[in-house]
Amino acid sequence: MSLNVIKAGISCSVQDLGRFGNQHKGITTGGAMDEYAHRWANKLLGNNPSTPTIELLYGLASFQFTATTSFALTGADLNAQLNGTPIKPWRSYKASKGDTLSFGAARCGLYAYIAMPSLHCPTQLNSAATVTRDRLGGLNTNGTVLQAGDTIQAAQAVSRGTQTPTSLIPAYLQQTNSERLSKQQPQTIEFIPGYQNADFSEQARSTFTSKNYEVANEISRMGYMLNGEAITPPAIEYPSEPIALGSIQITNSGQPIVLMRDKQTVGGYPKIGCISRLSLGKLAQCPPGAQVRFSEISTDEARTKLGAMLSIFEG
Amino acid sequence: MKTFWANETSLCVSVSGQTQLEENELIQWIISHYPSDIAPSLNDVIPAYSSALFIFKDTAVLNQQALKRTSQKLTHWIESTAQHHSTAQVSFGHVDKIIEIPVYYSSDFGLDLPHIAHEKGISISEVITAHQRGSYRVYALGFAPGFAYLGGTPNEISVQRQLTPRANVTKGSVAIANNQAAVYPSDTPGGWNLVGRTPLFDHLQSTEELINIYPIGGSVKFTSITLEEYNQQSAPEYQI
Repeated sequence: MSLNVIKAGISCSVQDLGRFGNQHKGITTGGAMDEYAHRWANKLLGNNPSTPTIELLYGLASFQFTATTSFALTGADLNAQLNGTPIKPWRSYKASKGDTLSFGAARCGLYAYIAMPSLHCPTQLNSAATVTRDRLGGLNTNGTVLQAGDTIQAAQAVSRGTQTPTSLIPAYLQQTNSERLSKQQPQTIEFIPGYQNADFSEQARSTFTSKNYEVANEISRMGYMLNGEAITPPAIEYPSEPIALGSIQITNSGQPIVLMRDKQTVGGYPKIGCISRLSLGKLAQCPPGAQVRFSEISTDEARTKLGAMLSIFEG
Repeated sequence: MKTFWANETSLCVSVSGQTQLEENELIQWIISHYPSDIAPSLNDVIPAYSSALFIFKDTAVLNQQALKRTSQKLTHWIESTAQHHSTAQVSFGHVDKIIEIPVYYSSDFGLDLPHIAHEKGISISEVITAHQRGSYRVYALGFAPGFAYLGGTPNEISVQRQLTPRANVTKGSVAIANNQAAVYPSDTPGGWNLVGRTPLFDHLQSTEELINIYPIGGSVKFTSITLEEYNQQSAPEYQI
């Protein structure tokens, strides 16, 4: 069976957990911006976590099913409708042949995920993840995002409807974007100090953790720019070094850029640390204008939290 | 030598106190010789000038004691290797391959030639001559597929990167920043100073072709070509 793309909206792409083993050649990993939501979409259908899903940015897209099948929807609330009836994310549903799954504008968060039974997409370098800059991945194996007229192949299977327990749905996806922007309560983003952290002045480090930073309009799968009180970078030129996922670069003008799934593999700006893996998905769901506050976490603590998240999907 | 965890799974190793070339040779030795039984625990190893990132598989966090044992074993091995390197002055990791990159040097493409000449108080033709005199080495690959960090730009033309990156740098642009040189393998934003354009990349399309141009540790030479030669070798859309 297949899912036909009627309207691709802002941007829809095939993603998985990422493309590993080639970063030494400058090939980034790509992968789902909200890994937790991607994993849940697959879990709701009994798929392996590495099965590709369709990642939707912001919505305004529509799809049609060519046969009766189950599908799951997780992540951002993009005002989804199945044949015109509103449906909620973090659940699996049954669609009949000819049914239309359509999305409005983003209500909570930015990235939603559609899983299909054993969704199939060709792989390159062992991953289906779409990375436009690297011209890798996706249905056409050249990094192009989904277009109207594309057909996504999947197995035809109907399973009992399932849903993510409410306690496991992230709190940051239960507040609407407009509530979030009007209340201006900052989201806590946890970070592990590292890289050049010790080279920053005490004042710069204190500014970084005591002030709110606003998500800029310049956000992409590669990086999220933030605006706020300037964090003075060390007056040192560093040789370019390898970039870890979630690295927080401080530019010459003192503003942070958090490097996301399509990060460059090597870079030269000073880094004050890396945000934790769980905070990466949380930040990915923050719309421009949202406030964040950075809070320090130890590597051990961040590992324990990541381990607890991964354990949900083991076995 | 210094090691730290950059995030939950990424161990960063950096070396210091030697010349950039020695540090880079040591890093390249480390990433090609670390104990083979550690490899199955890793997703990626990214080398750069004087540091390398060992990225463990996510499953490693499910057994933190085992992760600490494995990473300690790696760190100890690297420490003893670095010790050996600095005392015995062993030279590591030379690659014989020389890549020759033909460049059309001109202010049409080399938009920053006047700025470099002005800043260094020399003529544009002296900048061009100095750029070709440099002996370059592939220190790291990254930024984008087919982008190599080439060390060896002579001090007499060494200038800082642009304060604000250009929104678009054309594929094939040859650029310098500090003591580094590079060729932009595709149209991307970029902040390095442009000195000319090479037709070498025009006929390479696929990512697989692009990522195999430079061997890490290999040598690179830039040679001047005329506008006529440039137009003969380049793709129609890049000719002038």
